Amino acid sequence: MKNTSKTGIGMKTSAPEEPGRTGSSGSMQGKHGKLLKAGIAAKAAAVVILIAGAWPLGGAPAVYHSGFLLSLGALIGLLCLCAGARMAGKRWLRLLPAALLAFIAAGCLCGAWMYAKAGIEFALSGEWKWLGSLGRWVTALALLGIAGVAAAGVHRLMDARLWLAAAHFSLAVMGIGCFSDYAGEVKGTLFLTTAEEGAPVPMQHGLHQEGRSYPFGFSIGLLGFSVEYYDDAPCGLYAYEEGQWKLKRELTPREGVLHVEEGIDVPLGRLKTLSGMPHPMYVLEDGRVLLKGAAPVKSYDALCTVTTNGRDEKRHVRVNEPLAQGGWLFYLADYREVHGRPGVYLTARYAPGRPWMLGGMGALLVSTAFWCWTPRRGRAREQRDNFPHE
Amino acid sequence: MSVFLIHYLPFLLLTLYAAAATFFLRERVRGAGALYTIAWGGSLLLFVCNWTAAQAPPFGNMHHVMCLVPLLMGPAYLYSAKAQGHGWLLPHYAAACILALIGAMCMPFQASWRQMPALQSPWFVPHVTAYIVSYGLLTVAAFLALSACWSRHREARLTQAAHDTVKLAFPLLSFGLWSGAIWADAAWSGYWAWDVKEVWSLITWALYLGYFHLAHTGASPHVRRLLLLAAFAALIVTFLVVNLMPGMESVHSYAQ
Repeated sequence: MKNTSKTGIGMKTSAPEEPGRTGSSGSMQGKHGKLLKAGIAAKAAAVVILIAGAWPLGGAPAVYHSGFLLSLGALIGLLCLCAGARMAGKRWLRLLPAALLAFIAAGCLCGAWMYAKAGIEFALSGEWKWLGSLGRWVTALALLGIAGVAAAGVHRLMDARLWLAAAHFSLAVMGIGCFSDYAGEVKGTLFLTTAEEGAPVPMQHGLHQEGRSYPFGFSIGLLGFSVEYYDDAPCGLYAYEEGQWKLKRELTPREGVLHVEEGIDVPLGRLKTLSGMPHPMYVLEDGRVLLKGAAPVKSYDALCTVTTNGRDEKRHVRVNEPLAQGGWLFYLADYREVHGRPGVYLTARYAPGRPWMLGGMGALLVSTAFWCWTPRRGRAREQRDNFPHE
Repeated sequence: MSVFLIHYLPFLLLTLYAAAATFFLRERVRGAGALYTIAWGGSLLLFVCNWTAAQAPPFGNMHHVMCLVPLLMGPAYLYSAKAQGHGWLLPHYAAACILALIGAMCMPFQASWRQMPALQSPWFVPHVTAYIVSYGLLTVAAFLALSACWSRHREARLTQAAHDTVKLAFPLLSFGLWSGAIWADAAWSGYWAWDVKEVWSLITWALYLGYFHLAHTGASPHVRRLLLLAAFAALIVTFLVVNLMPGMESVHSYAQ
């Protein structure tokens, strides 16, 4: 029995979806029962392997790199493909334009956000510049409109069953990404230092690992490195208990004063660095000690130069902001000083499966949300009528 | 003042949520609704106090995260009531909030918290928020599954409500897991490191995924409830055991 009523977000809901509901649950079980059961068995085996590796008491993580788990992953990927194909049936062709429209909608939303943000920043930067930012806002609105049209197109093409099929295909795409990376990912560490006085910047041209060379196709060097700290370092309140110093709690100074407890306020200036101690401290009358810690790090910033075909370009590498160039990604891993000059360790990574993984994850999230969140307003009304309240 | 409220407000909120549940069970629905709303307002105040004390968004430790649960359960309950017709789940939502507040009171309190560079990402707040909402909803589903095991005449209704709640929570659980992978790809040079926290999150996700598949094979409600409870046990391991067990090495250690 097909429920085609339009609901909250206008989704056509096609049964079977809910256990215990009248409808075609029985027919789905007949057609897809073996596939479902195979999927459940494969998932159960995967869960057992995962638990074996991550058991809180002495798990064995080596199982994650075993051939058995790889084979299981391949099997699950194939089952997802088959299940997705079964669910989509002859309507699988709708998935391609739907994916394209969803991509356009997502791109336009990102673009609208960027233009709106730029418009606000421009408007706040000067007296009459809000007039100039109107163009950015109009562009943002136009992009929102295009995103809306694209989303409407997706809504027309898709229904709950196709979203479920899309979720299965997404998992298969993620599987392709996983296996591509398993087979072809290259990851290694580079150490870069800044140049000596008057000398050219030492550049790295590739990765050398286990006797093999992986050329980047460009060169990368370090121009500078900086660390920014938070202004206020937290202070720890320590007490001597059971033969050792124990941290009781952390205190943050407010307006230069540490409020320890009711009636005990200690100005930061009272903390002094004693001989042999690394940080300033203050001893309270009851023997407890206030110890100022090192200021926590706020950010790391490596300024690099990338040379491609003789053209130099300055790029920043920060945590959460890796440098992407020519299919390679460079992550900030560590730093140290070398003869008074800053040096950084960068993790260089080439991951051929990355676009598949990221695309698959995004598609999985969208399709799962649409499949799960189709509201059932008719049933909600029925529930309210059947269970009276005050 | 903020620190004072942070220490004593959870106990007050716990009492309010318990009172709301009691009122509802005695069919005084309007009173229950009013108490739940007041308790939710108190949760909002607690969130603001945590933010003020930390001088940063309060997502940095277990205490912060557990204080967030009652705040996020309010809109979740509203949605469940309006869209799914499960307004009668107020006692279950209140019970989930009570459990979270008890957890918050048991966790060590840290007034200050500074975001380390790895946490300075646009994914940080959505990742944690999605997980917290999903954990709260899945706690409600676990309570429903347990109730259905003991209540014969309401078994079907409780089982259906548990299924609806899991369906509400699952996309958020998925978002929490896979947004974490996308974030790790930007921060830790790879979307998956087989970290113990990551693996248990995947186990939890796989068990709830398996629940949906099992629901469509015609398995008995009793078997589905058992799987739901097993998945909730995995959730507890992910959220509590991995974070609090001594000797566990994890890149998520800043959440302890």
